[in-house]
Amino acid sequence: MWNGLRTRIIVSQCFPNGHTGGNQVKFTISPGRNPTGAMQAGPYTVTTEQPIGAKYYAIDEETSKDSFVALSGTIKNKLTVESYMTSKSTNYNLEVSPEHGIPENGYIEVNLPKDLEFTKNEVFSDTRDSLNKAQMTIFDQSKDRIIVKVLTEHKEENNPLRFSLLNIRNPRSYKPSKGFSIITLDTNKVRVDIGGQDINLVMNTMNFYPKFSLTPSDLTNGAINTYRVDFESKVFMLDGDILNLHFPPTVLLTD
Amino acid sequence: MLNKDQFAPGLMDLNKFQPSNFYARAPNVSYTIWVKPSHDLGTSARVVVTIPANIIFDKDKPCFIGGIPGATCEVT
Repeated sequence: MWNGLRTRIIVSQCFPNGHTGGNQVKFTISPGRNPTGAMQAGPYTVTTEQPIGAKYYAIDEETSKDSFVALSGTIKNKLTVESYMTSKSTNYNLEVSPEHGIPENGYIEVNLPKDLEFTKNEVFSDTRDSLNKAQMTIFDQSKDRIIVKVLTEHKEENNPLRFSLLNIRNPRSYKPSKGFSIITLDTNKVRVDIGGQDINLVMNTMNFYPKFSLTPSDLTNGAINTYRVDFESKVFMLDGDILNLHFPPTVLLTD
Repeated sequence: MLNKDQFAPGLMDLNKFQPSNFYARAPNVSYTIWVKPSHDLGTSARVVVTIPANIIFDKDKPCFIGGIPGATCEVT
């Protein structure tokens, strides 16, 4: 039954020759906008009505259990990083193009791959320009995830939406970093578009040891030595990492 | 004694509801509906569709009806 709040479409002049009960009626109504997120659109009711005097009365009526489930769309992304040095804390500039825009007070959620994390409290900057007017602010953040609230609607024709994620620690090696996940959400945090798989981050500059020293125990030529190695690394190490030390050819290892 | 306000509607088969685009937030979507009313209808009969709560029709924009030549529609 109509609850007085939902939208009704009244189709008139649809039976110029009348209609015989039991026969199918097929029609199309437009233009509508699908649910704001990937969710069930909800039940619908169809009623046939016949006027008696000036008032219409229901002849047949039924309400469905549901109608259809809207699907998530995709997001195209472009990522540029201010420094491609391993393990360096730097800024990530993102251009995201969600297929279906983002509603006012919707959200963008960015999940970082396993080997990346935010290193400081300052994590977000929007980079608005004349085509990119959506106002954004941080809604929630953890070490590997940020949710940004979009305060003004971003329409798909204004793609891409640009913003920067600040102070992210780069991967510690040249191994490509996949696993970015970027999701747009409606005001009820239901998914609208999903992307991030198109980002493949690869470092191109090794970080360095700010301190490295190799001190022999005996400086006499030909002496058998113990070398003391001291170094500091800006790249964190994990169990199972291997340290390779290459000696010059004039230094020979004894058995 | 029954009066005309107390009659319950008859049966209606709702056979299918299909959007032209399944993606969330997609605009300008057409929704095709297949129904089978059980009773005969006169030439002045109309069909009222209460659309799913999560679908938006703009009441300020014209509504279009397809599949039934000459029919008109109105969003309320």
